Amino acid sequence: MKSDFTYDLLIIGGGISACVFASRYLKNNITKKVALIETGRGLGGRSSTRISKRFKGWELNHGSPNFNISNSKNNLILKSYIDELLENKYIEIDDSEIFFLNEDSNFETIIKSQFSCGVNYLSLDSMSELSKKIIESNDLKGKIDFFFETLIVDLKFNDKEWIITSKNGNKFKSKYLISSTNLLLHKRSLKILNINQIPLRKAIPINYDKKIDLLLNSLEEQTFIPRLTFLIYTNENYSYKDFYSKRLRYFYLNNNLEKKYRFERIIFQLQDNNKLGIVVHSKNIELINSYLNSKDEEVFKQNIITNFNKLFEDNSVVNQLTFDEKISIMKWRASQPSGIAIPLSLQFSKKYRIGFCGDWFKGEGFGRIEGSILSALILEKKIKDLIK
Amino acid sequence: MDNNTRFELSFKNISQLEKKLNFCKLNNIKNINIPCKGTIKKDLFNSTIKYISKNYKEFNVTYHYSLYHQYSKNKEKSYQDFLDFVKNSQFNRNYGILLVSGSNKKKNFESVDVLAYLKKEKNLKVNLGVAYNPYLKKYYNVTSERERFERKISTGLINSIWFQYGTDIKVIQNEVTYLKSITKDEKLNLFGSLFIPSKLFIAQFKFRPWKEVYISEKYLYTLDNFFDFTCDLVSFYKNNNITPVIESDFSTSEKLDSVYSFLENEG
Repeated sequence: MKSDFTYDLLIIGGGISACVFASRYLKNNITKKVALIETGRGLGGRSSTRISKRFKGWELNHGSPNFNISNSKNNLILKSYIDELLENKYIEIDDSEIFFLNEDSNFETIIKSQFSCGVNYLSLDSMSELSKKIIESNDLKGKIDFFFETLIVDLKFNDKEWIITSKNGNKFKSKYLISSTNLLLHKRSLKILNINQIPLRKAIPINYDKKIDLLLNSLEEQTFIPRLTFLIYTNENYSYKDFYSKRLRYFYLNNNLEKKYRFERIIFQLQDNNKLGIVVHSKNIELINSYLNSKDEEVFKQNIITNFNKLFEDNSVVNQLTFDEKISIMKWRASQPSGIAIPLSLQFSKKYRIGFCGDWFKGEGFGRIEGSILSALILEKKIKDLIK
Repeated sequence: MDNNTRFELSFKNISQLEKKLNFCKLNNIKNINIPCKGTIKKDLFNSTIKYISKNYKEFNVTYHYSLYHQYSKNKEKSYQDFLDFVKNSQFNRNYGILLVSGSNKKKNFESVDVLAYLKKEKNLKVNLGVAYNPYLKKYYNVTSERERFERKISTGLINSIWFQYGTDIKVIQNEVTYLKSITKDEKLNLFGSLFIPSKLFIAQFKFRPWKEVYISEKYLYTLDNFFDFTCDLVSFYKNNNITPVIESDFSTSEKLDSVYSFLENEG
């Protein structure tokens, strides 16, 4: 059955940026009707948690398992927001062990990687739970409606009102629209949604709003890093060689090693049931293509194990894997924006009552959770000042 | 401060070396060591020597000459290479040499053998440094270090001893007492390796411990304990006239400040 829903504000996307925005908005607009629409099964976006249906008791953060904040310009809005998350005990300083693997294992200066600059923070629960808690902290009256597994395919702006349509035919109406995904603004939507015009372009034709034109033009130049993530559900008796007992342990490969092993980073995640999960990320195009073209997924998985074992040959910390470990593979269509970042000045169109946030905006947090959070905080402030 | 400390450089190519040398210059560091390990061996080691001799004459450099890494073709050729290097240091007097066998010893071509050959050379007055690992007997069940040392020192070519890093002060104290007892009449300069502990250092060492480098687990699992130990080691070096050789990376102001804070705050 097709339904119509009407809101004061609609948020498309359920990643951390959308959640931070929603939380802030709800805090200042307790009487407004708000909905959040997400194509996935839950909140978190690229920092979400896979709660396996196949393998009971496993919760693996398959995107970012933590986040790091540089805030080198000492942005006070960001600083006080992070302090708030710390005070609420949603996050803590991440003091997990980090290994930077390089070929000659000599103790060279490590150029801080995108995963480790600034201060690292960890969610006290899973990463998905963090997004949920961020919203719930300001949704005391249960004001927000969630629509999961709902893919938006069409946008319309008529008479000061947005009408957005999902793939299953539901229509949502709203006075304001916030999009934290940029799928509906980007040319990749044509293929993914099987449509012939970028949805935002269709809703706001060229020359109607200079800001929107600039935004869409800039986005033309933005690309995305595809990634493959392997979730390894190790056998019961698998453990470290040493007595490490913290929840997480990170291994980052330097460029040469990444080329050789085709893995970008490997994150060990201790589970509540004391089993040790391993999440291996790769952005190696050859590996991604060999996965897409592989005729036998089991053989592909065995190659991953072989590769892992070669990388961790001869060390005092990590044990070898056996070939009967369970693996599931996650293919990220667009795991991280790359190339041109979008100026924050294009974040909101007053005329069309639409705003955007996410890590695809310019700043030192570009492509990272820092950018997601900061752009959401800035957008909420812009909207608050405007609606006042 | 700098006169009582040496700094070991690690780099992957000449341009990195240049940056680090400039950093040293800027910070008034003159005593440097060039190791022969990791990526610095053979070609890079040789071009480093040329590069520094030509462009950075103001440094007081000690090169670690690894007989294993610098080995080429056969023993004769390798010995001749080393001899040339030694003679050059004798004539130019602008660098010191620490002779090491290397991570894998070549049969009949390790430092003890080569020193014996050098002794037979006529008209060669040379002073070399040799390495000493105090921890071999207690922690690695290798009992030959004292005997090897006695053979090295008996050549009369040795003027400095370079202690391997480790975290058992009792052991190094014992060995220093022993060395002093058998070298009483000789003027020997003593050097001791020093690492500034960090999370990164601990993680890397845990992952792939260095061969025959002993670091106690109590330091690998608690950084504060490691800091305390480092202060104790600095004091020990000072009390025994052992010049510290900084092996950790020191090539940012922050890291150099940290090195100096350890060296200044000792007991």
